[in-house]
Amino acid sequence: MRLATGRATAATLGTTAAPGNIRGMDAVVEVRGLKKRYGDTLVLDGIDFAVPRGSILGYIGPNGAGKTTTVRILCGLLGDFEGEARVCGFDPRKDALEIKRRIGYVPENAVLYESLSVAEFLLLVGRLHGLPDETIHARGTAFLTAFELAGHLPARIATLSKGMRQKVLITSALLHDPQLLFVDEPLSGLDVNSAMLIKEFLRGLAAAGRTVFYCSHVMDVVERVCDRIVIVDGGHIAAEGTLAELESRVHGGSLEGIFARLTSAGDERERAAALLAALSPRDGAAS
Amino acid sequence: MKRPPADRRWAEKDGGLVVGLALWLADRLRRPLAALGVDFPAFRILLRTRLLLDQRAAPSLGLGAAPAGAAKDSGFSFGVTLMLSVFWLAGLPAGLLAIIGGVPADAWMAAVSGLALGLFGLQLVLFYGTLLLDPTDIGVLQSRPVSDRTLFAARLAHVGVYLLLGGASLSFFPMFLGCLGYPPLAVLPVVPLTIGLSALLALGLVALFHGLTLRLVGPTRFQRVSLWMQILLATFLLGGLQLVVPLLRESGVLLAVVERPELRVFLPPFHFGGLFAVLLGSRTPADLQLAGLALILPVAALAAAVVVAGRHFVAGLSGQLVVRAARGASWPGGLARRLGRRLCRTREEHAAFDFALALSRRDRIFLRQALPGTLGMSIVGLGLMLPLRLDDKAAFLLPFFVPAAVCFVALTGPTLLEAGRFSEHWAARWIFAALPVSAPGPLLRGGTLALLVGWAAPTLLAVALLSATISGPAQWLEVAVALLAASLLVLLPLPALELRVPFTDQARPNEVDFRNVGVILLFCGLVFGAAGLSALAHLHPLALLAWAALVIALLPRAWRGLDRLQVVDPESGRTTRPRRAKSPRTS
Repeated sequence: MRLATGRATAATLGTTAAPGNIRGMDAVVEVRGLKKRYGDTLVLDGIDFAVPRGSILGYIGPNGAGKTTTVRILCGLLGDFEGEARVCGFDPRKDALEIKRRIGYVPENAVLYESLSVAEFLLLVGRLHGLPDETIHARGTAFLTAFELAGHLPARIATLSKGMRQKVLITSALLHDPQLLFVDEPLSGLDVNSAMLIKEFLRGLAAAGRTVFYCSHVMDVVERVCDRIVIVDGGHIAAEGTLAELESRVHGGSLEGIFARLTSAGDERERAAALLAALSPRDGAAS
Repeated sequence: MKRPPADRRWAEKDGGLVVGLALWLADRLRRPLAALGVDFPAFRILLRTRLLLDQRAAPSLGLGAAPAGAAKDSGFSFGVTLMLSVFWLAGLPAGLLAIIGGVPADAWMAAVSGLALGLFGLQLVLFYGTLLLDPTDIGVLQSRPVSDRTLFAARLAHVGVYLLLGGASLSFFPMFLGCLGYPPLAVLPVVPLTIGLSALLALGLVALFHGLTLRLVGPTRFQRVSLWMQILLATFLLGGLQLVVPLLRESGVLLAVVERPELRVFLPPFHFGGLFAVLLGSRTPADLQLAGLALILPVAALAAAVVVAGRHFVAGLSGQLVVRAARGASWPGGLARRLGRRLCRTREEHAAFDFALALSRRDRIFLRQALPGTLGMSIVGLGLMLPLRLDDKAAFLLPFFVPAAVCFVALTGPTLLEAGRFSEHWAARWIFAALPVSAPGPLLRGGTLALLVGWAAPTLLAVALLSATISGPAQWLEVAVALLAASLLVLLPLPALELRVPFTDQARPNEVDFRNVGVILLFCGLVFGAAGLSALAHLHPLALLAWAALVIALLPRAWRGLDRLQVVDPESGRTTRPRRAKSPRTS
C-alpha cells in the first residue's frame, strides 16, 4: 500500500513555492523530482520532499531504498542527478562547497584518518572549516568531555573502539555548528547512555533552530526523535508526514508496523524458514 | 587516572625536517596559489596531514598485542633514504659525461635535464601517480568544504616534495663532477635549478594529463580511463622510448634537430641547455628563448594542471574502478579459477585464492601499481628486441637477446606480491582473523598462488609468445626454456620474502617496507645472471640442453617453496614460517 507517490507529494509541495519557502515554512532542504541512476539501475525515481528549519526529519526505508544516495546528493557529494534540490538555499550541483560549509555529515561507515590522534583529526576538520584553534579546542573538549572521551585526545584513532570512533565522528561533524546536520545511523556502536545523550542533543539542536536529517533503521528512535518522517522504498516515497498523520492513514500501530505494511511483502516467516532449510544439510554433515 | 593539562592534550607533532621544509616552501607560494583559486589555509593543512600520515605506522585492528619493539613508523626514514640513494647514484652517468670532455655545455645540460625528466616521469607514472590519485582518504574529505582545486593542489605539492628531495640528491654528481668540465660558477647554481625545474615540469605534465583526462571523460569514468592512460604512459616510458629513439634516428628527425636548432623549442631538455648557455654568457635570441621556456614551462604546466583539474576532482577520486566485470555467471568462473581449484590443496587455500584473485581485478590501489609495472616491465624487453629485428647490422644480437628478455620479466614477480599486500578495504581482514584456521599458511599460499596464476603467469606467457613471434620458429625452443627459467625465477625468492595474506594491509602508497629490500636486490642480481645464462645458451645446443636440464631439475623444488612462505602478522608485525599444510584435498 502506498500513501503517496512521488508525483502526488510534489503536488502537495505546490508549484509556486519559492526556493527555501514551502507551504509557508522556511525549508532548509527542498527536493523535487529527484532521480539518480547508477548505470542501468534507477536508484531514485522522482523523490519530492521538504525539511522545515528547526525540525528533525526521519528518512527511513529498507536496504537499497535510496536513503544514502539521497543524503550523498544533498551533501553535494554526487553531482550527476536529475531533478531539483536546494540545501540551505544552494544547488548541490553548482554550490556543493557552500553546502559543505553549512552542513555536518555523519556517514554510516566512519571514515577517519586512523593514524592521526583524536586531537589532530579534530584540528584538521575544524581548520578545514576555517575555525580558529581556540574554538576547536573549546568545542572539541566540551563534546569529548560529554562523551567521556576527553582523556583520549592524544590517542591515535586506530586505538579507539567503534563507539569511540563514532563519538569522534559526531564531534567532527558538529565542530563548526552546522545549520543542517545529516546523520546516517548516528547511534551505531554507541552505548545506551551515549545514545540517550545524542537523542537529547539532537532535540536541543532542533529547538535552537538547527535542522537534522536523520537516516536510520531503528524505528523506535526515529519515532521518538523525529518531527516528520519520510518512508522511501524502491526509489519512491511511500509515505510522508508526522507520526500521528502516518498512524491515522496506515493502521500499523507503531512506526515499525507502518513501515512493515508499506515496505514488506509479508513473507518474512517463509523466508526465515528457507534460511533455516539452507543451513540444515550442513548441520547434518557436521553431526 | 591523572589527565594531562588541556594544552598538552591538543599538542601536535611538528613532523620533522621534511614537513617543516615543505610548509616553509608552501608558505612562499601563498600568493600564486591564492591567485589560482586555491584555498591556501586548507591547502596547507592537507599537505601537512598527508606528510604526517606518511610517517606513521599502519593501524591495526586491535586483534593482537604488538610485540615490544614493533615498528611505530611506516619505514618513512628508510624509504626516503633509499629513494635519495637511488637518485644519488642515478646522477653519476650525467656527472661522468661532464668529465669525459668534448660534450658542448648546452648538450650536457640537455642530457642532465633529459635524465631528470625520464627518472621523474617514471617515478610519477609507476609510483607517485598512485599518490596523486590516491582515493583512500576521500571518504574523510569529501563532505568537508575543500574545493577540488585545493585538494588537487595539495596532492601535487605532496608529490612535489618527494620529487624535489629526489632532485636534490640527483644533483650531487652532476654538480660536483660538472665543475671539472665546465665553469663552476655556472654549474653550481644551474644544475640544481635544472633538475628542480625538470622535476616540476614532469609533475606538471603528468598532472595536466590527468586533469585533461578528468575533463574529457568526466568523474564517473575517470578512475578507469586514467588507469589505462597511466599504463600507456608507463609502457611508453619503460619500453616505448627504446623504440622511438631508433625510429627517430632512422627517420632523420634527430639529425633535423641538430641541424635546425629552432626545433629545440619543442624538446624541453634543450630548454635547459639554452639556460646554461645564457648563464655562460650567450645572448643569442635562440638561447634566450630556450632559457625563458626553461623557467616558464614548468610553472605554466603546474598552473594549467591546477586550473584544468579544478572541477570534479573529488568526484573523480570517488569513482569506481573495475577492470573486468564478470558477466553471464552468477558465481565466478574463468581459467585462473579452474587452475586455482587444481593447485589449492585445502578449502582455506581455495578461499584465499578466490578472494585474492577477485580483489586483484578490482582493487584500485593494486591495479594502479600492478598494471603499469607489469606491462611496462614486459615492454622493456620487447622494446629492446624490435630495434634489433629492424636493424640488419644488429640482427646477430637478437638470438641472444630474446631468451634474456623473457627472463627479465621475472622481475614482475616480487613487485606483484609487494603491490598485492595493500587494499582499500584492508580492515576486512577480520574475516581471516575470525576463521577457525590454526595458522595463516594456507591463506598466504592461496593468496600468493592467485597473484602468480592470475598475474605473473599470463604476463610471462604473453611476453614469451610475443618473443617467439618476433624471433621466429628457429628460437622457439630457446624461448620455451627461457619461459621455464623465468617461472623458476619467480618461484625461487618466495620462501625468503616476508609476505602478508594479500589485500589485508592498509593501502599506504608512500610506505616502504624494508623487510624484503635485501631479498629483492639479490633477486635482481639473480635475474640478470639467469638472463645472461639464457643468452649464452644460444651459443651451443649442448649449452641449451644443460641450461634446460638445470631449470627443469630446480622447478619442482622451487614450487615446494610455496609451502615454506614466511607470513607477517599484520597486527603484531611478527614474522613466522608456517608449518607445511598437511590437510588432504577436501574441495
